[in-house]
Amino acid sequence: MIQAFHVYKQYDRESVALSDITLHVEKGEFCFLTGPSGAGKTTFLKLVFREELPSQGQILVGGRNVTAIPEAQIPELRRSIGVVFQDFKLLKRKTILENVAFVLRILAVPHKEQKRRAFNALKAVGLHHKMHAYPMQLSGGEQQRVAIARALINEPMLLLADEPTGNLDPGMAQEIMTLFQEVNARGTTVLVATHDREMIQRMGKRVITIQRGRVNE
Amino acid sequence: MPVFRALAYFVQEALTSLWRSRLINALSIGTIGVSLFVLGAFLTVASNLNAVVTRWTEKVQVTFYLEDGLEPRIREMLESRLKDDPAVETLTTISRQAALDRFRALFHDLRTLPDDLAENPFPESIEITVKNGHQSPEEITRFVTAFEKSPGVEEVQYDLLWIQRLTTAVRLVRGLGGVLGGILALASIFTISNVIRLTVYARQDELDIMRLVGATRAYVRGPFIVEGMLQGGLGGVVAVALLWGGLRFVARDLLAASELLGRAAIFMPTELAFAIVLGGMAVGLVGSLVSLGRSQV
Repeated sequence: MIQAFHVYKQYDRESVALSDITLHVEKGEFCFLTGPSGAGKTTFLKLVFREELPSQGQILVGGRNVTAIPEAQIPELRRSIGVVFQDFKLLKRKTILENVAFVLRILAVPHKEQKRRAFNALKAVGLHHKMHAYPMQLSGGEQQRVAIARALINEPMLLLADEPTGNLDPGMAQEIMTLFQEVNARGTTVLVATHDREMIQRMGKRVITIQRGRVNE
Repeated sequence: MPVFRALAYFVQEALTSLWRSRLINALSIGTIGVSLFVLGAFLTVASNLNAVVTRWTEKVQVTFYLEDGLEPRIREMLESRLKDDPAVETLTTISRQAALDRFRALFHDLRTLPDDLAENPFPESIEITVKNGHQSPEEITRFVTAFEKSPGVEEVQYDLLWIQRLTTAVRLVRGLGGVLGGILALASIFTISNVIRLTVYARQDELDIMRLVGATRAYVRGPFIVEGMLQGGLGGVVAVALLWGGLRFVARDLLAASELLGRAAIFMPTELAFAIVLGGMAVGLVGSLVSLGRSQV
């Protein structure tokens, strides 16, 4: 699903974010990307859904070279990838139901269908009772769950999650991991960036470690 | 269907945004309204003057005053030559007596004046009404030049000078309106583009998020373009309302007393009203495109 070949990312002369990353994540796989803060996990995820371009090297997602796709095809790529951002990235002026439904809205899914699926997605993360609330009215953990619901609503081929349990208590974190496993069982490839060692051990999945911008599997 | 859904979304978002920052948007709509009003006022004045010119030219009459004691043969020759000219619609020969009678009928109070002169002062004349399609100043000039030196013609009188002056005035008003309107339209584009840019700045995070979850550039930009067009269109509606009110005021209070223009109905052409609203929308479209072109959306 993800194939990275000798990927480098350098923001300026001094700061090298990623250096010679070569890794593969198979289709249908569930794996963790770990490493200390600032190791380059988030940067790598950004390269996968083309928020940024590598300074050097190639990345293939689902067989498509995302470093070479034209600008006009980026939206299509992003729609096939669910992303849980570390800072949630929720639309402040929209209710959480609208936030979750937004992905379907841009796909021109009929309104009723949008609502039904958004409600179900919120239900899956246990927030359906707050669907008319705005992001700012929720706690950090709740906002994170909204971000997860949004990432999953369109049943993406690939789910990228950046510290998705960072703001959650252990019980909720485990629930979210179970949800990811269910999604994975339905065929979605899952790549979770986290430095939660305990959770990684508990899950027993493949782990890719990045340290100072290099892969250390 | 997806296209309609997208359009519905654009309009809904645009309306929400217009309402959310209603104060600044009202300011922008007002600026556009005033600009279009000025342009519209010039064009309306030009249209009305033009209508007066058209009405006058429809009745263009050329009068050939004949020499005293003209031989009937020469007069008949002139008449037959005139009849052959393509510009002539009707030809009426007014004898000296008929001219006198007409004067007495028209100016009742002065009807004894000719008697004091001992002699009928009115010359014999031929009155020509000019055919449709031959009423342009150029055509009238051609016609008059062709006959003013003919034997038996003493003097020619026609309304051309006035028509020419009015036509020039119409052109001037229209030109001035065009220049002023153009400048004001540019100012409106500038205003709209800045208002939209402010909105874009205020919502930059939101727009980035939309892009990150897979919204196309068109989908992110659509609401802003519709918002600009709505601002412009509403500005156009304001301008039309101001013009309509202004015209009613002018028609009632000023021109009622004027014999010259009073009989001419003061009007605003329907096409102009539509053109102003559409023009406003075009100004809005350009304004939002300019601001989106400059921003990172």
